[in-house]
Amino acid sequence: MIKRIIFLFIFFISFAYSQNFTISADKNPVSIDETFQLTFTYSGTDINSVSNFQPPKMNDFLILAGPFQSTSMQIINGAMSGSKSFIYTLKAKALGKFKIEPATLSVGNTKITSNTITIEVVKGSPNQKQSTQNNNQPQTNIKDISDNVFIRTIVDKTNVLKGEQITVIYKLYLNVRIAQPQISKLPSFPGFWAEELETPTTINLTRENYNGKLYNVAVLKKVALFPTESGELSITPFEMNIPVYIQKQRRGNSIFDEFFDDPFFSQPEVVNYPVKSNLVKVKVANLPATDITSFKGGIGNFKMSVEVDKKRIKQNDPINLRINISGTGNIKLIDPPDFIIPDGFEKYDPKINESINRSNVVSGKRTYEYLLIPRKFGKYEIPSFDWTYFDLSKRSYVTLTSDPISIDIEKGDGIIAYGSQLNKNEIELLNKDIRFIRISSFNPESNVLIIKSLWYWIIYIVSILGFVILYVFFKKEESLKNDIIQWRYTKSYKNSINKLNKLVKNINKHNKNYIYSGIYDILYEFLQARLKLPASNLNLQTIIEKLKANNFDQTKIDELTNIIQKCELIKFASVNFEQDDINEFISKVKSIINEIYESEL
Amino acid sequence: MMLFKFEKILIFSLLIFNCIAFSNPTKDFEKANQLYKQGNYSEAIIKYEALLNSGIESFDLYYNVGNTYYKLGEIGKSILYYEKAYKLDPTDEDLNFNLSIARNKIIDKIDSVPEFFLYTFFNNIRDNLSLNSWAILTLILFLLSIVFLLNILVFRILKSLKISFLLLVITSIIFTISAFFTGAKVFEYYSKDKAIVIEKIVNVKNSPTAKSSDAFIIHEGLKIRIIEKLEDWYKIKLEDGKTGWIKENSIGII
Repeated sequence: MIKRIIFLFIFFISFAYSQNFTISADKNPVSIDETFQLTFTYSGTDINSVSNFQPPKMNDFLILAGPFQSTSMQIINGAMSGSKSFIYTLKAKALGKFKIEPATLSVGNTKITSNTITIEVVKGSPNQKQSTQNNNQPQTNIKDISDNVFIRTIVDKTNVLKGEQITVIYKLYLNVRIAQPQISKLPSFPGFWAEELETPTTINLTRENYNGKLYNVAVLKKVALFPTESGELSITPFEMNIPVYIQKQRRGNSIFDEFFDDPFFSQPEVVNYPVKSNLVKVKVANLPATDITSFKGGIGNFKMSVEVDKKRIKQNDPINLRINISGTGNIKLIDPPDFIIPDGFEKYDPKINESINRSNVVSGKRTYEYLLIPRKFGKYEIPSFDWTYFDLSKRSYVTLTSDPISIDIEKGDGIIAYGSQLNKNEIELLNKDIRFIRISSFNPESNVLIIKSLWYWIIYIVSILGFVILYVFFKKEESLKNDIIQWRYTKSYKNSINKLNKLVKNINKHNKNYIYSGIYDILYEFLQARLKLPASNLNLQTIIEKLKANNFDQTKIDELTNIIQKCELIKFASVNFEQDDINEFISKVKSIINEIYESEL
Repeated sequence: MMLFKFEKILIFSLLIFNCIAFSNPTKDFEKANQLYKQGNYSEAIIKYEALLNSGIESFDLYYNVGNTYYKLGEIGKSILYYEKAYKLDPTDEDLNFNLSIARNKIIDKIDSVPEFFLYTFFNNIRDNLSLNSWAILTLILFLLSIVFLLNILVFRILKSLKISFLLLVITSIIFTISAFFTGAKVFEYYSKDKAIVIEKIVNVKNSPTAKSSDAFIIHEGLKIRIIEKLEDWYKIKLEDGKTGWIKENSIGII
């Protein structure tokens, strides 16, 4: 039995959560002379079983129209859901705040009640009248504009400490029709560090009751300011040029004028109205004096965490040390903490990463990443270090301390960094020492280059010159030699004949030996010159060869051979020929000489 | 004429004066070597630096300076002077050994872009001999060619014309090749585009200004090539092709 009750209870509760019955008004606060819509909406799964809608008493309002029903349904995955609305058009009767009681509805067998709503009715403004209304109230003129168009600078604090965030919002208040406005001057914030906060990109008008009047309001700009100086600082105004539609003044009161002056027919005038927001002054006080060296400019509320990516590595391998500072406040203006690195470590300039949240309060996280490289092996510790900030809520300095980090550095492969392997040669060279210095003969000459020395090039030049000289000289000699040979060749015939004649003339003066010797010499001289044989190559053999080569008559050659041999015998062997005629012999020699001469070898 | 005692003393003191007043590089060198032997490297380097500043270019000097910087732990400067010595004589065995030991201590391991194989082959031949050796070789071949030419045209020492001509052609070809490599060696000797990093750690920048972002980090001892110069900044290129800007006092030109 109890189980059943519990089950039913849960069952109905689930229904209750899956359905909704609400009241809403399309304008709130509402002006006394305008109409608005009041909507009662039921949403749930069981639309069809909705019945018996009982609206509340709305005696403070005139019901101009309604209820107007509207239904919408949706079927998703076989499940049905939807909403049913009852809409009334109402008009307020009097100024003030009026509560509307809840409405009731039956869904199946269950009765459900809506929420309540309080409508605020305020004084209206002339331009909100509908165009069908006929009234004699004065139209908007220029004097009233300043009341109906203005920009407000809203500051959340005017008394702050240096570095404390001030949120500034610029809102445009409108009670008139305007065209597209132009920004003429953006505000400046001298003495502040400004961070733009998120503002929706499209202009959304909301209704706001300010100073008893109803306005359409748009947020122009939201800025978070952090003062960097102390004293009295000003936030300069936001200036805009807004084209405002103005109704013309009524001229007369006749029916025709009324007809023609009706807003429906007349063209509105556009006036360019410059709007300037209020100047805001802020008092900035200095932070209380401190000599804490670990204060690095942070003001707000922060947390710090420190980590290393490896706690055990080899010599010369890199370690990344990350210091994370996160929180709200002037996160963009802080400096990192100072810390000591162990002996033998190299520290490189940090990489800074940050992510900032700019909703209403500036907050975020900044990470300082340091690259460390240990050059020596052993057990080391990065000692704990401090970072101090000024806590705004506590109004005092707070120091955050990191934990010490111990790191184990193992002996590396010796010299190599960044994980590359040693090859065999390099391993052999490890721990070997260099060879000794040179202490023997030292040549202090500035130039050891041979090609810079003169004598190197002189040898080249000399050898070329020498070659040329020798060549020329040799050629000349050759030609000279040839000349001599030629000369001798020409002169030899005459010479020889003359010499023979001389011999004949003096035949009686000399002995046989002398004569035959003479003939022999003359003949050889002639043959050498005429046959152009070198002295070293002058013998019977070569003479015969040369004559043969020139197709000289063989019989004549034989005869010449006889002559020469005879002379030789007498000259060298002193053979005695008794019965010979020298003259005859000489004429034989002459004829041979002639033959050779004539054959022009 | 006989030198009197007074004149003897005068001459002797003049000689002494000469020895003291005019510095003798050989003596300074020996003094520096002595300091090195004693292990007093910091004093030795002062004396060596003085010799370097006087403009002396000497293999022995560069080699010893390289050794001293190595002992002082300045690997960058050590390699720089070893490279200077290498330029003068690439075949020296001690130098090559010490250079490989020093290079072992370079922190950066750069993968070099593979070269065109002919280029490497050509460089191997070129570096096989020092510049002086190439110069002498070229000279000898030249003289031989002249001799063979003479033989053909002037004197006939060798009887066969064919052999003479063949010898002449061979010698001329080898001479031309040798001259070519000598030229290549000269070009390499005078090119000032190679340098060694001498600062322990350098942040090489993307543009020639200290405020520029970092391109990469290199360490002392690394050999780099200079591409451009702008005021006191050099644009450098690593063996793997990376480029960046570095201040001139962070490197030493070989």
